[in-house]
Order: sequence, then C-alpha cells, then structure tokens
Amino acid sequence: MARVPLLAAALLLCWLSVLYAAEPSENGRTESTANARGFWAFRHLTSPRVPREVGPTDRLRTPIDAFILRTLVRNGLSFSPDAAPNQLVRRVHFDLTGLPPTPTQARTYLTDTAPDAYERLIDRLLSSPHFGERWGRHWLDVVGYTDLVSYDGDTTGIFGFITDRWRFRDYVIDGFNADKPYDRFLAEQLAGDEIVDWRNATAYTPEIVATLAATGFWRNAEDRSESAKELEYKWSFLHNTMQTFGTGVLGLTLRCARCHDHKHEPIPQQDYYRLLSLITPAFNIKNWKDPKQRAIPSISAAQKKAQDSANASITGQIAEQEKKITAVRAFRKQQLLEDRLKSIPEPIRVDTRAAVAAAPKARNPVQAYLAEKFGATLTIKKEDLEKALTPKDRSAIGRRQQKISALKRQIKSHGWIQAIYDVGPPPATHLLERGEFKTPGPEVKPGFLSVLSDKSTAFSSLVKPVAGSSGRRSALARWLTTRGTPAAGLAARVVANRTWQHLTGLGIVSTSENLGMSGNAPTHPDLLNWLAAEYVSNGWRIKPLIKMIMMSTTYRQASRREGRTPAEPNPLAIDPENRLLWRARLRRLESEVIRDAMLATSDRFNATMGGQPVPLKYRRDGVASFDTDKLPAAGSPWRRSVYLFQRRVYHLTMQGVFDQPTVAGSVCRRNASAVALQSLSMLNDGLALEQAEQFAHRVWHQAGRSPDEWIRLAFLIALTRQPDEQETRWSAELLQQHTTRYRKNGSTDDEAARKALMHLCRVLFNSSEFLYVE
Amino acid sequence: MNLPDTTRREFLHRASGGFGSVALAGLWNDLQGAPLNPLVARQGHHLAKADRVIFLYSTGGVSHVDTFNHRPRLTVDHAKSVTASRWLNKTGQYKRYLIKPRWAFQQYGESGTWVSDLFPQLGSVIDDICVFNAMHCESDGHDKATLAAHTGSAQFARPSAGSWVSYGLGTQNQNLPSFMVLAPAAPYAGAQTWGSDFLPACHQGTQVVPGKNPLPNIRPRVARPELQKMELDLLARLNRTHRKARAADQALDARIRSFETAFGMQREAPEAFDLSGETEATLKLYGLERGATSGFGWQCLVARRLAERGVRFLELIDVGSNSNWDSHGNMADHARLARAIDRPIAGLLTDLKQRGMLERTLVVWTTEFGRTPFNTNANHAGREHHNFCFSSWMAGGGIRGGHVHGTSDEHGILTDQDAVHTHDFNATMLHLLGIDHERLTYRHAGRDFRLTDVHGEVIHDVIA
Repeated sequence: MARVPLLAAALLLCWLSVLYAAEPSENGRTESTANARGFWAFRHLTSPRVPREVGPTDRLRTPIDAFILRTLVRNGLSFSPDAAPNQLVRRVHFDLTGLPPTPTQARTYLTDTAPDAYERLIDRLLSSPHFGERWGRHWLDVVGYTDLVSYDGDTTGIFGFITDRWRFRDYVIDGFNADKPYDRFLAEQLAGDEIVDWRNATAYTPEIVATLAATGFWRNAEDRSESAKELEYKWSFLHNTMQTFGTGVLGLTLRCARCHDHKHEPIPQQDYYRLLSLITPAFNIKNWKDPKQRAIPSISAAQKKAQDSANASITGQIAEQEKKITAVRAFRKQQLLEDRLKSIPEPIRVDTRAAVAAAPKARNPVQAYLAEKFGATLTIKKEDLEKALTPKDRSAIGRRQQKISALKRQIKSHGWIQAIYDVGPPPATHLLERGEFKTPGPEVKPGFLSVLSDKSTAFSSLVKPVAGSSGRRSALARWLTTRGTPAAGLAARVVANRTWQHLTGLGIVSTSENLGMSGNAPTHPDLLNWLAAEYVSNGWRIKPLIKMIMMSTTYRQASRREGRTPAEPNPLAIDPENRLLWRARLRRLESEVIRDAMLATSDRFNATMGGQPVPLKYRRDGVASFDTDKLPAAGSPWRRSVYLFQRRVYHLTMQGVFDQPTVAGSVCRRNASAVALQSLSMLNDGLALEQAEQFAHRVWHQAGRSPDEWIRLAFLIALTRQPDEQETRWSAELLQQHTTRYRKNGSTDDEAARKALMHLCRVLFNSSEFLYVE
Repeated sequence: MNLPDTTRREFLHRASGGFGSVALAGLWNDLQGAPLNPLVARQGHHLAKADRVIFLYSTGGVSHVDTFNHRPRLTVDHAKSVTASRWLNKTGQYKRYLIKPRWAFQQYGESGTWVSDLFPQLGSVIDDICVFNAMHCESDGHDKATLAAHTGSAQFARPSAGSWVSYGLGTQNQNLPSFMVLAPAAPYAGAQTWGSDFLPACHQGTQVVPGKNPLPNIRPRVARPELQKMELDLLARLNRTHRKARAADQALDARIRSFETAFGMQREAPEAFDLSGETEATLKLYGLERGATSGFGWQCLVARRLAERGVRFLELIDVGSNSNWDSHGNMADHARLARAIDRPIAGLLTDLKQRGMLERTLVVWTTEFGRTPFNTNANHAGREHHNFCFSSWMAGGGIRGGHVHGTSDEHGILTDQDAVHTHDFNATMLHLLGIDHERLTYRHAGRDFRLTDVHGEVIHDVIA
C-alpha cells in the first residue's frame, strides 16, 4: 500500500476539519463529527476499480476473485482448487435453502454436463420458496424477532398479548422470496403505515395487511407496558429498540450515545435523541399504547363494522332458534309434569305443584313436607324429557340445531396486525442527561446521524407528512436509501458484509454488527465497497448479490488444501486463520439448519409455509417440547424450525444447545460452539431418536435388500456421497453387531435388520460431516 | 504442546477407559503429530498449591463499603461533600455527598476481620478467607467490567479464565467438562464470559442451568452402555477419518472430544447432580431443603460434588443481568441478594474444610466493581458504579486465611496501600494453580496472548 507522507496526511486532516467544521446545533450544543467523515464506512459509496493483472488468470471467474486473489498473491498465497461437485452441491443447497440436497437433486446436478449447470443450480435454488425461509431467518435474527412482545423471564408462562406476530415473519420470508429491493423492504418495515392508506381504506388488500405487518420491525424489543405501568419500562423499550435499529440496520452501536457523546464513534449524544424523535410520534411516552392497544384488526374499520353488524344479526338468529328449541322442550316438560301430577290425590294436587315450584328456602313447613314426599316424582329428569319427546319434536329440534350450526359457521372473526403508527401529533423529544428520563435536557429536533448527513439529506428536505402521520419514519427510510449518500452507503455495506458472512462464514468486517470505528477493520475494504456498490446498482436486490458471490472461484474453493508440493509455501503458516480466504471455511450448521436437515434426511419434512407458529410447551426448568394437545396437525412438529413458536430464551433443547441465541436485541452472528451438551442431545434427545428411526424406515423402503445397499443409500441421503470401502466395512460391522443382538432378543431377521439400521442412521446424524458444511 | 512420555502413557490409559478404546488407541497411534487430548491433566510451571478453582461471581457490582471494607469515617462524615473526579462515565470535578453504609460492621474470628451484617455466616468462616479491599479495574460499565473480571480484557472478546486454566492444566476427569458454569442466567456480556474464544473450543465453559434436569438429555436411551459404544466406535472412526483430511480445523477436534465427554457424562453427571445421598447435616450447612433443585445453595453443593469428581474450574453465578446487585435506585436490594448467597458460601467453605478439600481448592469471590460511597445527595437510596476501589476475596488453596490485603482511603473512594488490579488478582489465582501467568500463552493472530495481557503481579502477601 502506498504510504501517505505524514505531512500530507496532516494537511488533509486540516482541510477536512475546515470543510466540516464543528457547528453549533440548534440548541447550542456543539458537535464535532467532521474528522470521522473520512472513515471508510462513512464515505460516499463509490465502486472501486477492479484490480487487474493480479495473478494467474485461469481462476478468475468474477471481479470478486480479482480482489481476493490480489491479497492472496501479495501474501504469497493462491486459491485452493474448486470443491468436489458433490461437496459444492451440498454447500449451495445449505447456503440457499438451509436444507441438504435430496439424492435426486444431487444427481440432477452431478449428471448435468452443460457448462452452465452450476449457474442453473443457483438460479433454481434462488427461486425455491425455501430460499425465503433460509434468508428470511437471517433477517429475523437481525431484527430480533420473537413470537411474543413482552418480557420472557418465566419458564412456564408467557405473558401479554401475543396474537399474530407471525404476519411479520411471513412478510420477511415473502419479501426474500420476491427479492424485494432493500430500499422498499426497509421503507415498509420502518414506515409501512405511512406508505399504505390503511386509515381510509374501505377494505384491506393483502398488500395493505402485509405492509402494515412489516412495521412489526419496531415491535421486537421487550415491551412490558401491558402489565408494568412504570415509565422506566417504556423508556427501556425505546432504548432497546434504538439499539436493535442501530446494530441491525446501521451496523453501529448507538447505546453509548444514550448517556453521553459516544467515546468510540462520531455520534454525539444529540444525534441519538434526534433519531429517537423519529419514533416518538408512534411511541409517545405521554400517550402510550400498550401492546394490546397497538394491535390493528386485520380488516379495515369499514370491514370490521360490516362484520360486527353481520355477526350481531347472526347471533340474533341463533338466539331465536335456541329460543324455539327451548319452547318445544318446555311444552313437553309441562305435559310430562301434568301427567305425573295425576298420580297425586286431587285435593293436594294444586298445593303440591306450588310446593315443588317454590324455592327450597321459601317453602313453609307444609310445602317442605309435600316437596319432600313428591319431589322425586315430580322432578323431570333430562333423560325422561328426552324420552318423552315425540318424533315430530325431535325432528323440529334437529332442524333448528342444524340451522344453528350453519349460522355459527357464518360468524366471521378477524386476526390482528402487530403494527405501529403515529398515535397523535409528534411530542417534543428531549435529550436525556446521562440517559436518564428523570433528567430531561434541551429539546432536540428530529434528524439523523450528523456524520452521515449533509444538506441534501437534512431531515427537513426528506420529510413529507402524510394524513394522520408525521412522515418521520418515512424520512428515516429515505435517509438510509437515497443513492449516493453516505447513509445509504453504510446501509448497503452492512447488507453486503452480512451476505458475505452468510456465504463464507465470516464477514469482510468480522464484527458484522459493528462497521463503525470500534468494529474490526475490513480484511478487503475495496471488495466490500465494490459489492455494496453492485448491490445498489442492481436495485438493492439481494439475489443478484448472492449469485455473484456464489459464482466466484472464491466461493467455490475446496475447504481443504490437498496435494501441496513441498516447494509451495504452507498457507497454514502464512494465514493460519484463513482470513484471506485461500480456502473455503468449514462452517457448523446453525441450530435450525441441523434440525431441518434431520427432518429432510428422514423424509418427514413438512414443507407447509407460513401462518401460526407451531406451539411448544415449557417445563418449569425451561425445557421445551411440542404442545401435543394444541398441535394444529399431526405433521406440525416436522415443520421447519423458523415456524416453531419463538421465545426470547426458551428454545427446543436441541436448538438451544446448538447456539440458538437468546433474543434480547439484534443478533448478527451465530455462535458455533462444540460442547458435550450438543453430543448428549444428538445421542439421547427424543428428536434425534425419532428422526433416526424415520431415516432408517426410509432407507429400508427405498434401498434393496442387502446391507451394502442400505449403507450406500444412507450415506448418499445424509452426506451426499458414497461411502468408501473402509466406511462400508465399518458400517457393515455395526449393522452386523446390532442385527445379531436383536435376533438373539427374539426379533425376526427383517425386524432385526431394520432396527440395526436405526443405529447407523443415528451415527450419520452425529458425524461431523453432517453437522458441518464445507 | 509436547507431552512427556509418562503423560502420554497415562493419557492412553485413560482413553482406554473411555469409549472406542480399540478404535481410538489404534487411530491415535496412526496420527503421528496430530494433537493429543488437549484436556489431559498436566502439571503447571511450578508446584501448585491448589488443584481446582470454584469461582463465585456476584453480578451487578457489590458495594464494598457495605460489605467487607469497613470505613468508620464514612459513617462519621455522612452527608459531607467530597469532590469526585468522575461521575457517570465523565471525568471532571463533581461535588458529591458521602453516604454511610446501611449495615453495621462486626469483627469476626480470631483474626478480627470486619464484615458487615450482610454476611454474618461468612463472618463465621472468616479465618479461612483473605479479603482484598483495594481491588480496582479499568471500566465502570457492566459488560466491560464483567468481561475484564472473567477474561482480563474489557475491550475485546478473549478466553475466559476458566478456559485458560483448562487449556493450561487439562482436567482430572475426562468424563466431565473441564470448565463448568452453574448459573441460572448469564451475567452481562452473556455467554462470552465463559467462552473460549481463540482457545480450542473444548475449553469453553459448559453452562448448567439449575433445575430438575440441569443437563438435558443426560440419560442414555439405550439399555446398556455397550450398545451405545458400538455406535460411538463407528462414529469415532468416521469422524477421525473426516478430521484427518482437515487437519487445520480444530472445531472438528472439539466435536470428536464432545462425544467422548458426552459418553462419560451420561454415567458421571447424573451421579454428580444426585443429592439424595447427602446427609441432613450437609444440606443444612448449605441452607438447602431436601429435594430442592435450584438456588445458590444447590449450586454450591453441586459445585462441591463436581469438584470432588475432578472438574478443574467451576464458576457459580448468583443472578443474571436483571434484578442483580446493581443498586442504583435502592441499596436495600443488597440485603435480599446477600441473604441468598451468605449461608451457601459459608456452607461450601465449611464442607470443603470438613472433607479436607479446602486445602487444595481455591475459592474465589468477586464482582465487576464496587459502588460509589457518595451520590448526588446524602439521602439518595442508591449507589452508582465504582471501579476505583472495591472488594473481593479468596479462600483455601494456599491462601492466607484471616488476612486482609490492601486498604483504601478513609471513605473507600480510592485504593491506598497494596492496590490489586484484576490482572494481579488473576495472576495470583493462576500462580496458586502452579501456572506462571506470563508463560501460559497462546499464539493467535500473529502474537502470543495471555490472560493477564502484558500486566499482572502475583500478590505473594496473600499466600500462606
């Protein structure tokens, strides 16, 4: 890298500081963010020149490779060979759909000899609905999605109004499947309520519902206000929401600026409250709506009015029918009573009737005597009445009951949308001294981060109020996505970096939650800028970005370097952590992907998309399992993990041990630990056992009748490859041992073999090759 | 790390007690130069005074002037003003008012060490404890100070002390994790506090959440261990072949090891967590009801049982990042939190001593920082974060009991004599385990890292 002479650098800094001199703001507090504008992530996004003549050209498939190879060559390194096709098809399937290839899918690719086979594989998977589930999950992590809105510290109880959070989840998944441009995607999530005219719509279209549900983006932080009325909980919600927004969308930590000027980032405290004022019209401390009050019916006000009145009319008709049924019975009952009274001596008949009819406490001694004596005779039991009904009575009642059922079916209900909207005119927002709501400081006007703003992106030029709403959040969306501005540059870099992270295992900035000055430095800043610029120029669409990365040699490399000649430098000595990508990174699958892959392997996978989450139940110690009493369908437990009820802390054991995160804000990276609890779960958890049995069942029915055929198919399904001779021998030994044992215990030959197969299947689930993608 | 032959033999002997003996011994003979079991027990750099650590952590920042640092002048000078050099993260000159401790202090034991009424039970075992009254650290933020106390670095994710000890000494029981964390909830900075970061993943802490089923899936689903062993033998063969071709991926080593540990855990862990064999007297010592499966008493008793079984490093965290010792608003919270840990910790020390284990078990208690002896007015019910001076203690494992190390100024604002930085504290802990903190290093990203960064002095004065 060319060195900038010290003097020149100093002059440059002086010049910059003149250009962006600290200006006193509207309330007299000075801010100095000027010098930071030169920081790489805060600069205008420009596409750097693609390096030329960087090294051997035979491996350059895309401009990405030129950037990567340049750094490799500078460090005496080179690309590893392409991964074997069967490894590659596995990698591509996991990366795009979060599922392993089926043997048929793998065969289709492996036998496709056309030169564009690989590209078509990518195109095919990018258009699979599973793509949205896989990449939607990444975004749900970023926004900290849960199926509840409230506090989640109690193992057995879930508090608060939690209905229909799933509409946001489905919105995200659909958005990825439709490759919704990020500028639109973000605008809908930040301010969907200002985009569609839901207040005046006579009927909600699916688009209106989805766009409103998108604003569920702002509803992910813990909101305890339904049960806890103290101000501090409302403020805590606001600060947590700011933190999630900062980390998730800006890739910056805003938290410090709540209390004081940020020590590590050019974010004055003032800026924090400027940003905060963009959401206070919706989250107004003085006009607070608790989660239940914030929910919007999933039909328009007009639709709801019509529905309510139709329902009222139906309820009236039902009451009418019920009245008539009651009348038939009453008539017959009276008749029965009269018949029985005939058995009572005529002189006391009238008195007895009165005695029985009187309330026990109100009876005089004579009446009490009569009731005691004749009560049993004159009590019409239910079954006596039913017997006394004539065939005509019965058919009349039956007819009316049918009418009632039909009427009940006509009653319409509606769901809810967990949205946000301005609850009234914007309140004044004050800077809080030391971040404490009890010590409000000067009022702050709405605005953005100064370091990422200039006159053209000032709040006043971006805000356009709409009917019933301040337009502040829409302005925020515009600030973040107006091309050619520093804010849009940062937003694009954040997405490009995370996309790179999901496809290679590590972001170009490894702290993908923090691209600021306190984050890690990028390993390939030019490449990141180039990717971000391409992303924006492709209309903020993520599918072309993903495809571009996957088409590169960089992505396609093998994860191990074999057959190195002694003359070649040892890459492990030069770059032991593979930061420069001289090979692909071995990546452990995320918790959800492990479970989904087991379901896919066993063929029990239930591909139903969307809708209400699959209910789980929880023990006092937090252990979760499927709530079998409430399952909507028998196959629900085999739906993808993204559709399981999502809490903040308590996950299915299998998911929790494999690092499914505690959701307390934005999660930009998953951990990939390897601890004994995971192995215990893989050995002993009910899920592993059940799925291994199903997997064995599948192999038994799909393979031939010899152990070798079973072994071959089991390896092919689980690992997308054939076992080698040694592995076949070892596996056959295991099958043999268990078959013998089961036979000894009285199983038939077939039974014994089938049971033995389960053991092999479980071993394959536990193999490193199953749990890691390379 | 090259192991001496005796260790290697010992190791192979141990391994043969685990699963896959035939397959493993054979493969390891084949894998010349491949990393040996990173968890095999080994000696440190010098003769150790302690074999294991039980690290007790109180989340939120415990007020030193209300617990172990007896400052009579603070009571006398109550409501007088002082000039604080920093307030809520900002340096400057701040006029603040002294606030007397809420709890009275008494002298305990032969040593006459002062302890407040928050910890009467600890008072009864004070002659085994060495109190550090001049602790200090760099950060007054929860996340950073919590990380600093655990990893020596407030700034970056680094391996936890437990991971360093596991890396340095391995562990005595291959059937239990070397580093276990008994915690109902994570403290600030979350699971990073017991993460192994760049150290091999097998050294990271295994969290145990107190409850009926502290380790999920601990019971094997097969009737006899040898049935599972058949599966695991094949698995070991497949995974080792797979790993052999991917020599640089230590995650795969950790994965293989995790199955070996898991197999042993199925036998050992249920036993360790089964308190039914403990006598009434022992349960009483910890303030534990029979049948209870949570609470700090449970954590302490289980810790003793795990320590007996050879777990190298046990960390016990009392509460998570909510409703903890962070008494900004009301110091009265300290009473509830102290009550929850006072008897259990005293019980643990007594029990360890009765069993002759205290001598070789280093028990450490600490927190992220102290709390300000002053506030904006003298009637303020709370105290703010204070990292310039706080208290911690150590006991057993070669520690000089009944000793108080370090003093602060008369109000507990700044350290005075024998200040101890977190790095010194950690260096001393490693020293007692036989580890030279300057020599326990790991090469990562081009340089050698250690728990104490480039700092840390062993405090010899606290060693018996």
